[in-house]
Amino acid sequence: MKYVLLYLIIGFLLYIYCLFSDKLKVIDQGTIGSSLLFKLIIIPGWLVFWPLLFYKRIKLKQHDTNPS
Amino acid sequence: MSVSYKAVQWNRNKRLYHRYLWTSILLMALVFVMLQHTMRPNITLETLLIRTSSLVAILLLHFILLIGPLCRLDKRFLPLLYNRRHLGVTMFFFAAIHGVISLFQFHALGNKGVIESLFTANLKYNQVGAFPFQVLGFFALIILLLMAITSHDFWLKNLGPKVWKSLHMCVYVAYGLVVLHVALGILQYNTHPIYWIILILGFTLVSSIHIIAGVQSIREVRCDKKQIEKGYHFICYHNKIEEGKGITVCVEKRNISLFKHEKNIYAVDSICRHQMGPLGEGRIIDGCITCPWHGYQYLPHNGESPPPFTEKLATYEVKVINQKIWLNPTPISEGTPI
Repeated sequence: MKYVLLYLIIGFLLYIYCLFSDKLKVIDQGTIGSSLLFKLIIIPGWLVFWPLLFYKRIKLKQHDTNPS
Repeated sequence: MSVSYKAVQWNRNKRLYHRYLWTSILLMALVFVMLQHTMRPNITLETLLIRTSSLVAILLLHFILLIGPLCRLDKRFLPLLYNRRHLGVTMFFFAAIHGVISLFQFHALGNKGVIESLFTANLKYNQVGAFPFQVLGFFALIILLLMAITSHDFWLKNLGPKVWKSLHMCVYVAYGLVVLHVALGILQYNTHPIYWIILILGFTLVSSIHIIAGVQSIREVRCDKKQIEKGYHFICYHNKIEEGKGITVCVEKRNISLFKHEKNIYAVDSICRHQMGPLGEGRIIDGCITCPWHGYQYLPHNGESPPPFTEKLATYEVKVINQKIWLNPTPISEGTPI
């Protein structure tokens, strides 16, 4: 249970970081101009699936630096 | 289709649907509460909440599972499909009420943690008649939770259609677990036979409608091997496809949808990029191939969604000679005009 809680807390902290440092738009441009309610709705999913989002972010970064 | 995400894409129909949904739920719950109170005047509030929420959740789950195959059988059910996610989240809300109150009522008062107690309070895992059925309900609730928290286009896009769809197809696993959970619960508590009848009827209805829809959706055009010329397969005659509508064929293990638009024939991949809906069952609206599930649109000549949207489908070369439609099943890269 402790590990599950730790996993969820890490996810939440990363969400807060992305929200306030405007990194959400890097993960998905559709979040630009989205409402506060939308940003709240995605929190539960973020807590569970944050590693997948970061994997996607890393892949996007690699693609940007090496487009070929 | 939306450029910037919204929490819920409310429109007139969705609001109407939302009102009907909650009115039906409240009426159903009210009738059940009154029945329970009449039959068992000493019933506690917790038990009443557990039973009412489970009834609402299981009925909604059956209804949700019926929507997909019903839409395949009759397009008049499509408005329900557009609101299925909404219904799914509502169903999870009631399932969660049932699960949380049950956990606290049966497992929170001991000296063990709630989850530990759930798995260890009854260890008769090898006995059908005494199997700890709450565990099955717990796993079903976890699946429904994962589905509910990803019921937004943001997650569809970011998990990818395949992962998202696979996750949401787990509803059938959840349904199986729920059926077992309820069946074992009925068996162990020796409740009224009406519960058995309702459960069996529900399961039979869901299974049979799925089988009927599955049989009907196999609409493969079997291409005669003699009817292949220079890589082009004969599909059908030009008049077989109605103007503004499509058909789906299976050629060389590829599902391809052919549409007639302004008397021309266009061929694209038959799977919608949004939620893998069956494009061949859609039609041309405003000059675009429109998915019957959620209205995603693609231009027939190049498979691209109209700007500012970015979804693309592979296209296929088509020839019409003497009213015969010939198709080359080698896909042209996505977005290439034919």
